[in-house]
Amino acid sequence: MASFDTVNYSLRPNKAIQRQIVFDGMEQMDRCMPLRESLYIGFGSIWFTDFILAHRRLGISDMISIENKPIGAVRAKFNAPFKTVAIEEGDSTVVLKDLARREAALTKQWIVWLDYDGALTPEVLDDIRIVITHAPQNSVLLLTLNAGGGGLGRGVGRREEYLRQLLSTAVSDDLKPKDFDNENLPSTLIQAVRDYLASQAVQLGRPGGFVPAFSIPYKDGAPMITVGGVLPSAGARGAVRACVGEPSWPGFPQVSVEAPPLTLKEISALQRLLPSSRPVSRAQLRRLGFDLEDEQLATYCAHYRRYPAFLQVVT
Amino acid sequence: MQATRVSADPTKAFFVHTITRDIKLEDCIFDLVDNSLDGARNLLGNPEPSLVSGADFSKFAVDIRFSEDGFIISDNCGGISLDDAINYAFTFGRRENDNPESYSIGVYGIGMKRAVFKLGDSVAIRSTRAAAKGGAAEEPFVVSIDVPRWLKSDTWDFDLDSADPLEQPGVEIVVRQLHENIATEFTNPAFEINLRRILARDYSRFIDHGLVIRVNGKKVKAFEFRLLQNDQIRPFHSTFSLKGVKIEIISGMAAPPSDSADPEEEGEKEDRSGWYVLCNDRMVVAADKTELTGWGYDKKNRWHPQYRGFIGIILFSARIADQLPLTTTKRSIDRDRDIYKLALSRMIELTRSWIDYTNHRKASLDEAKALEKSAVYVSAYATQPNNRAVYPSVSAAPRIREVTIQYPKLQRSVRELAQGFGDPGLSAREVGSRAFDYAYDELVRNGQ
Repeated sequence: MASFDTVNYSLRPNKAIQRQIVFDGMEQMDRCMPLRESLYIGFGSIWFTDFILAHRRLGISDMISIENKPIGAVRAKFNAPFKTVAIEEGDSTVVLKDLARREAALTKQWIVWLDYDGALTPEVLDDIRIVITHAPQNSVLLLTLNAGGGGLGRGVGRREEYLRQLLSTAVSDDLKPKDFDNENLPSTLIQAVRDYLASQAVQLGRPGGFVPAFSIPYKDGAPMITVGGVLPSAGARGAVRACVGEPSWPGFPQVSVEAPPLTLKEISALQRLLPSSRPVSRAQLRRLGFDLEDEQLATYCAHYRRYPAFLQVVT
Repeated sequence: MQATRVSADPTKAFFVHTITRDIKLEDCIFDLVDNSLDGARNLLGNPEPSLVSGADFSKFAVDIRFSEDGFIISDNCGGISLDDAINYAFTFGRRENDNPESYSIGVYGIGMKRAVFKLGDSVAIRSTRAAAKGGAAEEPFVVSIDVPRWLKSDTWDFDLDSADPLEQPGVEIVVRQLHENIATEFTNPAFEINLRRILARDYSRFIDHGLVIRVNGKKVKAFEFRLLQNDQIRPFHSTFSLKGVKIEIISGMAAPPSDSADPEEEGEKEDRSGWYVLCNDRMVVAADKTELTGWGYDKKNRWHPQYRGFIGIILFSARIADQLPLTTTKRSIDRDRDIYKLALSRMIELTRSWIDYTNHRKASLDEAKALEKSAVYVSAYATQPNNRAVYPSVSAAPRIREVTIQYPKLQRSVRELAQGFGDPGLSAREVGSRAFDYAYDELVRNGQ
């Protein structure tokens, strides 16, 4: 069953925050390495939220959404938000391979966001290698993966062995069993996947290598990670490194994005305390008439400008 | 025809290109580590190398740092003397009056220059010597090389200037303006992990004896060479000498042999089986499974996954490094040397007895596994002298007939089923076997 049959994608606040972080970053990147003429490739599903952001915020029009189920593809075609969004039906590995053979697709840089629901698998690595091998210079590659322990095996030992089997020398020898437990697995995976992307870029002979630009753990139920970066030309590498090295670069949040679901009433009350140079305290919240856990309050305050508001529309 | 003179001077650019082309980046770095170790060994009075005992290296540290912006290696291993710098360290090739009787390995006197040329265009080598007993310390110096400018100049000499002293007597080599391919490689996280692994393995005995090697600030932990031992399993450990060269060999079972004969199945895993050849403490060949160390010699007994689990370590040591069976890169063996041919015949015997055991054990696998399981690990270097490798003798029990089932399934489905069993890393063979057991339990055992 496709995940959009079970999850209403538009109702996940932390997924929405993660998307905003990515597009905040890309907007910033656009100033040092223009992205407006890119070809956007993603899994638009039936919601196309990232496609809409790519068009609105970066002005990208040429877009391809990959859909692997026939009914999904029909619904995707029906729901495509812009005239320039093409739906390609098929397995992502097959579609990406096919794209790599089309001359027209290789004339402009790519922004590829492989937003998987599941865990890391050999097929995901196939997709990564196709993109790293064929994406034109100055392309951006993003991956979203489920970082829950189940997908990598039961027990820390099995997870470690499986991850080493998949990513080989990108997995540090210094890791300890606790790095593979449920709590630490997201950060372990982020580092291993990021290092895998960097080592593949070198091994597959990309002259500018890979510059990490996004490492975002987030959680709406299942723990997820988004890891990504730029595959620059050798000449652009310095500028891209400088761009992601800026203190204002949003792509490396220090803590997992786990803001609580809030009502509109709570959001508007909290927002009136922000921005603030001092952290908002729970005492302040209580004075407003409600309360949150410390971590929930801190995450909300860190991302309040990206926090979505949902309304039920009765049709 | 009038006699004329033909210029046979090699151009510097050609020379540099030639010496740096055929050596791997990692090996260049190891050459620099070896130089540091030679310094340390020198301070310790050049002890004779041995697999079982070793001098105390705990006073010494080698620090390696790199990024795409540069490379630095520094040590506290005594530094290069001004005299050595002028007459040896910065000359090309060895000069005749060098002291060769030191159990060192710097046979061809080219490692440091080759390494820095391989790395980049801007080089600074600083050295600070400790004061000799009762004497004054030598003045610290720096040799700076602007490689492109040096290549264009008429002379092969380098400029040596006085410099501020380093914190401790030792050498610091800084290379900037890295070559593009080197800078790219330094951005590869797998390069660092791999470098760390090789350092851990190739310098394990020094690290065991106290040497600290850091890579980008993190200490390298020694890889432990361990062998199984009990009353039925005894590692081989023997020493003999020939023409001034001492040869020490240890070999045995580092792990029970592999059950699978399928090279694909465990191919991805790092395999440390094979022969390790050291010359004067330097690892020259590691985990070798080729004809170089006797596998497939005379077209027989080529390496096969069934033989996994075997480890052999052989150390050649000689006061004069020229007597060692080394190639110029110091990363392989010159197999035409008599001393190596002699050692090779012993190595083939040891390999053969392991191969025989892996064949015999198939006749009584359960018994063999039980005997292997009762063995305990000991450090290879702590094994007692023993001139015959002993492996379990198993009785040739009648075998219960088995059949092999083979069927193709979609790779993705096999992995999904593996995940269903709780371990997506299971091999296809294991998934098939568990699926059979599962069906057997459901339909045969529980169905009765």
